[in-house]
Amino acid sequence: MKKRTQKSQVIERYLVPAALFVLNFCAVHVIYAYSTNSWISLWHLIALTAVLVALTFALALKNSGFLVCSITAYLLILTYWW
Amino acid sequence: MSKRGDKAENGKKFFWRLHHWVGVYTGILIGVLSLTGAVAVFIPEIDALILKHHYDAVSTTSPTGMPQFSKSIDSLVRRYPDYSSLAISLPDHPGQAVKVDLIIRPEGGDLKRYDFFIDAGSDYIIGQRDHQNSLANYLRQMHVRLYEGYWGRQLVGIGGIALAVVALTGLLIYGNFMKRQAWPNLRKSVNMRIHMADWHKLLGISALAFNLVIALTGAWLGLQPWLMRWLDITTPNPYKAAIVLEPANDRALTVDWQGILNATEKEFPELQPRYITPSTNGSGTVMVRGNIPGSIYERDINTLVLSKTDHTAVFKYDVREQPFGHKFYYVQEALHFGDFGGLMLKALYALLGLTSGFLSLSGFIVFLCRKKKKKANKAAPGKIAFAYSVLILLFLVGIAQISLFIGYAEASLVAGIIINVLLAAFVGYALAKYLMGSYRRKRRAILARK
Repeated sequence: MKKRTQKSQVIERYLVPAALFVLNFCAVHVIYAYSTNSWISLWHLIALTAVLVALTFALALKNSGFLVCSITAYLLILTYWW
Repeated sequence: MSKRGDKAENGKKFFWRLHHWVGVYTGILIGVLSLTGAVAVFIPEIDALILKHHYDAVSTTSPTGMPQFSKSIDSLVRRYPDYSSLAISLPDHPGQAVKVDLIIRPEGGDLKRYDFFIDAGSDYIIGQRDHQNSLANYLRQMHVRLYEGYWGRQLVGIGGIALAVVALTGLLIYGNFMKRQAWPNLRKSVNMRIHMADWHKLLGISALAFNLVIALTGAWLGLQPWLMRWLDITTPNPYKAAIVLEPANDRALTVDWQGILNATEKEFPELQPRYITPSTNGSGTVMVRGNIPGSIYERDINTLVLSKTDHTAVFKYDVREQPFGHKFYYVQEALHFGDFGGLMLKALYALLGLTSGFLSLSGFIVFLCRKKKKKANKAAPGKIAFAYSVLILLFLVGIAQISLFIGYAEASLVAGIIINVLLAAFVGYALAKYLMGSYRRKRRAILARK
């Protein structure tokens, strides 16, 4: 019970704010990529869109693994295509 | 509780107090900037609509496919031979008119700044307006300096710092305030304080990253003149062409504008030219400024300087090829105004930008509710917040009316008086309140000792 509460606190206090933080940047990034046709490759655009969708679903489902993975995925996209 | 626990608790209390006081004292400023900023992102679009529908400044199709304006510019130069600056703004979309920003500084007289509109198909001047009194200028000046010429820009910069402080402290105290409440749930309550506090936390955390970017870039843009002076930062791209002619002879030189556009296409093919400015200081050059599609930098910062006579390139500034410092300097304004991703991005910017206004309003209502609870104050927090909001709107609309129908200088004077009187009263009130509190605490301590 205590463990579950602790896990829920980690999600609510750290992972959700972190995912929302990343979602702000990701949403702006996706709109920018679509409106200016400035994606590097089609895979870049697909990956960006997929991460935006993943972040939204992760926030809706509030699954810790999903949240961590989607945040990491966006950071990886940023680093890989910088 | 352990020492470490005490320290963490004290830290949270300190951040909460900081969030509370910075929010209370700068909430109105943040609210005004949020509202004006949400409109300011659409300045080019609003201005284009005004030109089209109010001034009927519409272009016919150009026979060559390139905007035609040579004859109109010649006639303007003949009409105002002692102009001090002339900038030709090229249309962004077909059907838009070419705009000429003409500044005249008569000796001993007041500066005059006009916008002339040219039909880019038939090369005719189809209208004009006073640049200073335009709605576009009002929207920009209100957001950039609250229409206060002396230190309005710095006040806006301070508003940016305050927004950054409340955003960061809000993040640090967020966990403590949510307790068992999950994002994005709102508690079911008829209590206004709880209702507003829940929305404050929900929107605050959801738009935190955006507000932080807006706050930091806004703080830099507002305090830029002071910071650049204090930190000895120079403007990147400080190109100054050598003087080779008498200024009067420079102004009299005939420029082949189509030749300039052709040379720009050849020398800087990626550049989308937006502004063309002929020199008036005797350098015999034409400066072409514009954007590179897809890049996230301040508008019109890429530059090509061409000779007026033979159109050879004298200087080229492509921000993509510049060092990190230049790029960092020029990315601020684009990030602040969302001017790099079309209308959709601007809509997102406006929507997220309004959250900081809502946060200052909801924070203010929570503050008033707490105050009411403590002091059994009879005034309804909702009504007080409504009265403040109406007063702010009256100020914004009033200054807009004066600026549009009387003049920029008069509007700036009225805004300056209102802002400075309010600021002095506000600082005086805060100081008096602090001194009174301090006096009461000392008195209570003396009485307790007795």
